[in-house]
Amino acid sequence: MSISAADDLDSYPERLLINGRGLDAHFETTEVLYIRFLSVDSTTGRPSEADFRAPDLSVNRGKYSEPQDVLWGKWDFLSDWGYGSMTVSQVPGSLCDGAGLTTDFRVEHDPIAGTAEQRENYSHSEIRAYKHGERSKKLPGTVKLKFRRRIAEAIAVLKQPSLRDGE
Amino acid sequence: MTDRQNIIAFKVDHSRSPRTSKAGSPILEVRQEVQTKSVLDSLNNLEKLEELPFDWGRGEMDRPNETAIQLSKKLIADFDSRGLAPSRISASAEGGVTLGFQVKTRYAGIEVENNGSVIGLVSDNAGAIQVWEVDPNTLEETAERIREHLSC
Repeated sequence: MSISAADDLDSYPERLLINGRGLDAHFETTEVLYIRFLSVDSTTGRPSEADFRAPDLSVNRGKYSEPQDVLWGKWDFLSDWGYGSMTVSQVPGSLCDGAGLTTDFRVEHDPIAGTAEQRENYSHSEIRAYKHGERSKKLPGTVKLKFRRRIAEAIAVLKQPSLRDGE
Repeated sequence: MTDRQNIIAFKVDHSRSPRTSKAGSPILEVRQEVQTKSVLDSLNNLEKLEELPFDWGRGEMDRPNETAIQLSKKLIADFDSRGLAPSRISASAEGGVTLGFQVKTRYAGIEVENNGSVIGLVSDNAGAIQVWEVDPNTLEETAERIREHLSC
């Protein structure tokens, strides 16, 4: 069940509002990141690479949010999704494709300003990809898949989603 | 319920009218080639993915397209003939279909992208991950690699 737009106006956490705060580009390697997922494997109870995108994977910073805050979508509270955590140090630093080209990954603070289409979220961050120091949105399929699997294996599941594939 | 659960709850009766894909490959033709119940279950799961609404995953994920669905069916039938059946079939958040093979702590995956590319993956779930590009027309090497990985 999702909280309706009318209900969630009162319950949206104040800690997610920007409230004049600026960008915080510094991440400790021990900082916790929260991420949500729609489904898990019914046999393992864990998400797989199928459940995550790359690059520009959205996460919430533990420094500025509570775990369950990551279930806030653009407007709805996604109570039937699951979520989990990992630390910054578990994000792959770099991955090579078969041709020897290295892709670097960084966690970057990316607060979402409130708009007509989306609530603001100060804790929002993205895991972004860089090639030769330039941000890249298009990665080789092998690199993307390896990155997504690394993320899936790193996550500590904190809440199971309603959907369990295979049941 | 999620969008995907709504779809899964929708039962399609294929026994009365053989269903034909947009590409003209009758699903029943594939079914005649497969041998095990698990593979029939896999094909049923794929058919559910075909029915996903365009805004599934709250618009954050791309839906598997016809290319990925049809290619996945072919791969499942081929893997079955080599004694391999996926334990999980999912719509990929990247678009396309993910076939997962889990045996105890060992995992193998096949990602079928919407552009028709296929990528294989094996992992020991302890940090050792290998990926490779797969030629869907010559699966023997990939099937052997997965089988060997899962049997360790």
